Amino acid sequence: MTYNYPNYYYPNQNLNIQPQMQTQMNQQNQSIQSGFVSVRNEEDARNYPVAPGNSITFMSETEPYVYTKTMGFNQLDRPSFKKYKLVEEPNSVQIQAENEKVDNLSSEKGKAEFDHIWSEIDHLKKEIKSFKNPRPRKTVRKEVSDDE
Amino acid sequence: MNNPFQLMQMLGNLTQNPMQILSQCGLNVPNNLNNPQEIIQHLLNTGQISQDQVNQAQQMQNNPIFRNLMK
Repeated sequence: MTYNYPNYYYPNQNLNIQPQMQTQMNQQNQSIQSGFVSVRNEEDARNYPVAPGNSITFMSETEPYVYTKTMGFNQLDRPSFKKYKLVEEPNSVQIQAENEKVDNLSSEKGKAEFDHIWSEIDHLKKEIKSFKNPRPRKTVRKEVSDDE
Repeated sequence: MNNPFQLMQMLGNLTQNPMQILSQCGLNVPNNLNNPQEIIQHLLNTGQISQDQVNQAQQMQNNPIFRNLMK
């Protein structure tokens, strides 16, 4: 026995769609909150409106700086503004090369180089002393006769 | 809304008379505020708009296509 029910509209069918949309919106909001707000310069970051109790991190488009602006829960409080400079971290190969340089300086080869430098310094010191106490020069007077 | 002309018209209205657009959106702004940053800060302080909305607007403003439209 078959029942030929008409196609009724069940409003609950759409209930599954709404939570999906909400989660998508929440994900979007989270991505915005965790990201940086790009600004042209420090002034733009300082003037950026921030809600009470919120903190925003800014990335400068023109300079290697990151700024943070934090507003207190009290609207009368002044917002705290911090500026951070971005410094490039050398990669591991560069660090290793620098460490090897330091090792070379502390080795015997390095000591020999130091001795050489010290001897040059001594030599320069002597030269400076000789400039300070110059030897008296003999003045040669040329007698010029009136006839010439 | 898909019509670029309509969008340009809306942007024109927004730049020429922002207070009217704000009131149409149901946002209350005191008359003594003229600076856009002060208006946004007031809307944030009074909870009429959220920080996410401000950030989204800023992202739109940073978009080169939007910048060209606002010129």
